[in-house]
Amino acid sequence: MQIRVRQYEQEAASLALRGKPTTQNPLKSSVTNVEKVSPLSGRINADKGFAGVHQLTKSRTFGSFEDEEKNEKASEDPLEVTFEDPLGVLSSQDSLPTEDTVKYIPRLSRRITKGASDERAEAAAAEWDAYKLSIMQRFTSTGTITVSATFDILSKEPKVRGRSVSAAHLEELENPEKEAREETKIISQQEYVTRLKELNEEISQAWINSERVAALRLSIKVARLLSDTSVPQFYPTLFVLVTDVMDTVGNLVWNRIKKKAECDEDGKLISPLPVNFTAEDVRQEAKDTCFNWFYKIGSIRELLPRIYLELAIVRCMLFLEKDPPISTFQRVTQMMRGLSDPLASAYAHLYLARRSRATMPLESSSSGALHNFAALINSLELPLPSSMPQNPRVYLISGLKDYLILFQRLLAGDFDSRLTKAGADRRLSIILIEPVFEWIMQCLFKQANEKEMAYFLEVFGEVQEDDISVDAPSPGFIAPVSVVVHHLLKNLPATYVGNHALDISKIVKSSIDLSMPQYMNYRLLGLKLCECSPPREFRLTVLNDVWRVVMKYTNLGEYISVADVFVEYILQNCTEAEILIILRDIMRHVKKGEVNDGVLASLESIVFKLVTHYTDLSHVLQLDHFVDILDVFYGDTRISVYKRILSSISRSNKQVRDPVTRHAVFEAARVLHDSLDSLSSDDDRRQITRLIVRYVQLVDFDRDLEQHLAFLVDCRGTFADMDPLRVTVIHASNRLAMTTLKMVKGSHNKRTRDFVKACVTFNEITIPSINSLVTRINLFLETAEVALMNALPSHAESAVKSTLSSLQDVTSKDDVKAGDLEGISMFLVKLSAFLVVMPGHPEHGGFYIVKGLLNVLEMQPWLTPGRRRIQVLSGVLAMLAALAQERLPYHIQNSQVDSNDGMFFGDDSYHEELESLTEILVENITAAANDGADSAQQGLQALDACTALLQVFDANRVGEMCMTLLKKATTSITRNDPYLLSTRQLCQQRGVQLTNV
Amino acid sequence: MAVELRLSRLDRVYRPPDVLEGTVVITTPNTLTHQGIRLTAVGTIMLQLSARSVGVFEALYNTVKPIQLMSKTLDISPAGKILPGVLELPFHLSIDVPNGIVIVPNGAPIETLFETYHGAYVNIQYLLTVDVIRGYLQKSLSATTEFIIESRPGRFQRSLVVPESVNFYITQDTQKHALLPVIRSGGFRVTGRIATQCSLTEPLMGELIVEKSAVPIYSIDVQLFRVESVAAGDRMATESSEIQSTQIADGDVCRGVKLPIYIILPRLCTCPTLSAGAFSLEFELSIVITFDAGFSKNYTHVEPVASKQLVALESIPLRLVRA
Repeated sequence: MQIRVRQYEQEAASLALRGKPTTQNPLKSSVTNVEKVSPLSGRINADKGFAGVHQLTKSRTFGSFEDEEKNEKASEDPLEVTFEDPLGVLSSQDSLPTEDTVKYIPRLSRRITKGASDERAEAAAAEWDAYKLSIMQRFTSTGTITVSATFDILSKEPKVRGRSVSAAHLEELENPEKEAREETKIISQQEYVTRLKELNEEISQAWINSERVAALRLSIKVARLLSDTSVPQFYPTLFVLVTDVMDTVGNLVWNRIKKKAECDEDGKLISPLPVNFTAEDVRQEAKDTCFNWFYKIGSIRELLPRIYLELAIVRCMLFLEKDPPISTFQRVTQMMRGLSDPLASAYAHLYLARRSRATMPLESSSSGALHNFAALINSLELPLPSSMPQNPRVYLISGLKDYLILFQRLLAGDFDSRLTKAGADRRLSIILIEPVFEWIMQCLFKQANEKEMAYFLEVFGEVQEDDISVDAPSPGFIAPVSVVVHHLLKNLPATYVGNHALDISKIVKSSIDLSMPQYMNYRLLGLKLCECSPPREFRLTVLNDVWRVVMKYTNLGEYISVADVFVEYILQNCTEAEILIILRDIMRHVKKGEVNDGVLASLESIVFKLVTHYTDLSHVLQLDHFVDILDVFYGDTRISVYKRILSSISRSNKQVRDPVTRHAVFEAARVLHDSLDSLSSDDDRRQITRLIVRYVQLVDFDRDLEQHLAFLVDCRGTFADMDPLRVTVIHASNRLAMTTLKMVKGSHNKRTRDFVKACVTFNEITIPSINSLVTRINLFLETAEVALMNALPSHAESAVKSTLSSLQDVTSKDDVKAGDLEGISMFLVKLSAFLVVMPGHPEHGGFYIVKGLLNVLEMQPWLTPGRRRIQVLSGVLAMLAALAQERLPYHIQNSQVDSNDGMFFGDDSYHEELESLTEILVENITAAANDGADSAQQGLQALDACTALLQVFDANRVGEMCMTLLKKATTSITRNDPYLLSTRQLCQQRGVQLTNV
Repeated sequence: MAVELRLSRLDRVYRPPDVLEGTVVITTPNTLTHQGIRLTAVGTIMLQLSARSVGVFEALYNTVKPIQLMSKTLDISPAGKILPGVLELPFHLSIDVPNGIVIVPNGAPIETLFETYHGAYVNIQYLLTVDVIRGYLQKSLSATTEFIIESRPGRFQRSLVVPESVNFYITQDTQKHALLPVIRSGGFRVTGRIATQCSLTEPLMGELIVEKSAVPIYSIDVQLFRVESVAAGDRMATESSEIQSTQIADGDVCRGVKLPIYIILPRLCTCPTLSAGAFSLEFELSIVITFDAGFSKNYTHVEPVASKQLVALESIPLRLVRA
């Protein structure tokens, strides 16, 4: 059969698609779009979530009231009632539109359906609900509580106590054992909680039944529970439960008065209150009722229940007064000075802050309020510095200040004996009180401006001249309390901290007490400073100021956790000199202290920061003491640190040239490799392998190729058991060989040839240990290519033979994975392409390898099932066709290597052999075409075979064969199948006479 | 058949010379014949002697006659018939100032109506009664309601009332009764300032500072007392009793911290301080410091009267005014 003459270049050129240059990047615009859209959608989601919370609280907080409404058959839902906040109107009518009012107006217009006062109350309730949960979770404790008869409401049937109130506590004093004699009950906390929840229900029930005085009495008793601090651990939970009851009462009263204001005695609606009602809109009857409530509560004897109930109904002041009840809050704050139990007092302050959140507007509001406020300051002789901004929440500050006097006493140990009796200690008390500081600070910082922040800092941060107490621990001065400083710092925005770093660092320095370890404050300071750097000129001063204190720490854990944060600060703001100093200091501390897991975690984070900051790992490794620090690690932390180092290498994506780095990282990689065992997870294994592979890829010895090869040998030895690594090593060694070739510009001298031989040999040794068959044969082929390029035909031949024998070794169908089949057939096609340039064997003839290949195909038919077989065979056929041309389509670009066209030029026996092989192949192809599993498959195979034949032979030679194949395909494939159509077209183009088809 | 009195003011407070206004509501299922509907407004001072100050016998026999402050009748309907259904009869009744008609024994003529006051031994009460007078042998229908008289504010200038206050100090040495030795020897000093003249509608304000106290404090209360005196023969029987107690410090408070005193005066139980021959009404504040029981445990077994010894107090007379 005559193989047609081909012009490969022309064919390629004629078949290639025409390219068209473009100026637009289609990906570019879509990226910006995504960026624009995503935050928006996120916000929408957040809003939805928020609304959800809102609804939840609504139903919960006002649930009891709704019941009442239903009972009274009032048609409207209390929550739907629309009224506006008096302050909102005031501020928007203000003649001077301050920034606040400007902000306020859109807010009003957005939600006109709900009064600002209600809205505020709901927002506050939602906030509190979230915080409440966190408190409950933080302080869960199980155990029992001894309940004395004083708290008789906890027993199911409250008995009436006829004792006169004034005599009561004298009696308590007189007969300390009376209580003991009286039944003391021991109930579990769970029972306590359940009982309180029932009480909440009972109160609303009593209210609905118009037994309002009874409801009030019950709630006073509930409030009284809070004066019992005998089980401190339970107190926060108790507080949450009791304030739930208080809130219920507050809402009941609010709604009742509101109803009074809107309806006459028979419950008929007179006129609904305007959305933003003021005291002037309220009917006198409602005001009287409201006054009555305040009278009733004012007559409660005990201080604590009086405070709680007054706060519960304080919102009703809005019915009586035009301005927000600042003076009431101020007075109640002062009344709290009379509470001497640190825990009870703290939580009372918390409740006040909460109610003020629900009642008071955040904005420094109307001029009336401010006027009121100024008068208040005068009348109460408050010690306020001139810098005090006009903030209506000033009572929170003075309240907290008052409380701190008490808190100082706690810290000084005044209450130790009582605490011990309750089985607690100072530390526990502080932990229990901390949420109070947290919440109050959050309240203070809500919408605070910079001036206010400066004031907060001055009040709680600086060493104060003692103006209230004469009995402070250090006479005349009160040092800032560290836990307060902590929460202050937590709430300060980073920019503010950055700008006032030096002052703040002084504050932290001066606040040393039990309530919060100083290092925590330094840590927090550091974190804030990392978020926002201080002004350039102070950066170093701040650092020095902090470090002067921190470097004296003896507790390694505390020291290192501060160091951790400040390393980041130094990296951002200072030079390398400071890094070196701090690393030395860290090393000094580590040597002295005991290294535990916590310390290691901090050290690890320090290392991470360094490694991340410097993109060049070798730079980090060259820092003094860095390597020493690395040596401190052990166990899992060491593994994770090493992982981080390796990943920094792979992330930086730069060649590793520095020998120190290479060595250090090699060690790290070795440790990582050794850490893997049969128990390691696949993920772990994959991750580590990937890291090491990337490292090996990046290692570069520049011109020292022999050294590189030695390194590869090392790698192979060290990281045994990692296939991907072997693959990498082989690729690297191939690259070495090619680099060498390039360096000698194509003609090897003896030394380079030996080196290249070494590379190839290295590969030949390494490849067989790779598990995956496809990888192995591909690598062999790659090596063969490299060898041939480097004029080592015998090595190339042996490599190719190795591939064939690898395939030959597959003894059964089951050894080959289904996924590998495609790889194998692709490889075989690729091999065919290579064989075009591969010179024939001088003794075994030009087609020694080709024959071997055909042999394999024959012997191992399962390697190439179905269409793959035709694919491979047509590949081989194409190769033979190429060889039959006068000139090969491509050559090895090395003058030392001859291809078959040169070697067997004019050799008849060569051409004869070629011809006979071609015929065998044609037979094979036609045989394979008939060998399909089903008719559709056969049709496709027929088309494949037809195309292959047409490519290689002239139409007049294979026309009939093609006709038969085409016919066959037509019978088994639908008529308008595109493949069939295009094959037909090809036949027509090539001049095959199509009849009957 | 029911008769009901409805006053125009929900809080029932009237300040002479206000006019008492309201409606009499008569609900009847069948026709009701009556001989007139009459309203009666009566104001009385009821005095009582306390058994403690004058002795049991005297208290029983020597009852003091009530003093009538006001007695007015008004016929709002002549005799007639009331048809079944609801009948509303509005009325107006002027409350006159007695203008010297009523004489309290041993006292000057009264020129104003005393304010309503409910006390232990003195009661000043105003009642409005409606009677539907019916024929012989038939019980008349009636209803009674109390109305409250307050004097008109403004007799005192506001500015004159507010600032009067007094500084007080309480130490172990100011105590007339015996204190526990440990309290006396340890010493304490509580100072403060409190209003001595106070408007009934305003809260009573003041402040208090625990300057020192060796023994922990258990509680500090401000108690409001009424001092009621009733003439019994040639002498006055005086009795004081507690109206309200307000705690201002719970536990051992911080030293040197100003504690606010803020007391809302209970209505009806207080009225302007007054003295009118046959009786007088005065008020008094008492600041009571109770020391911690922790120390007392050992003593109580030995000494039953120790409770008094745990308490230090200071009484301050209080002048209440309507302003």
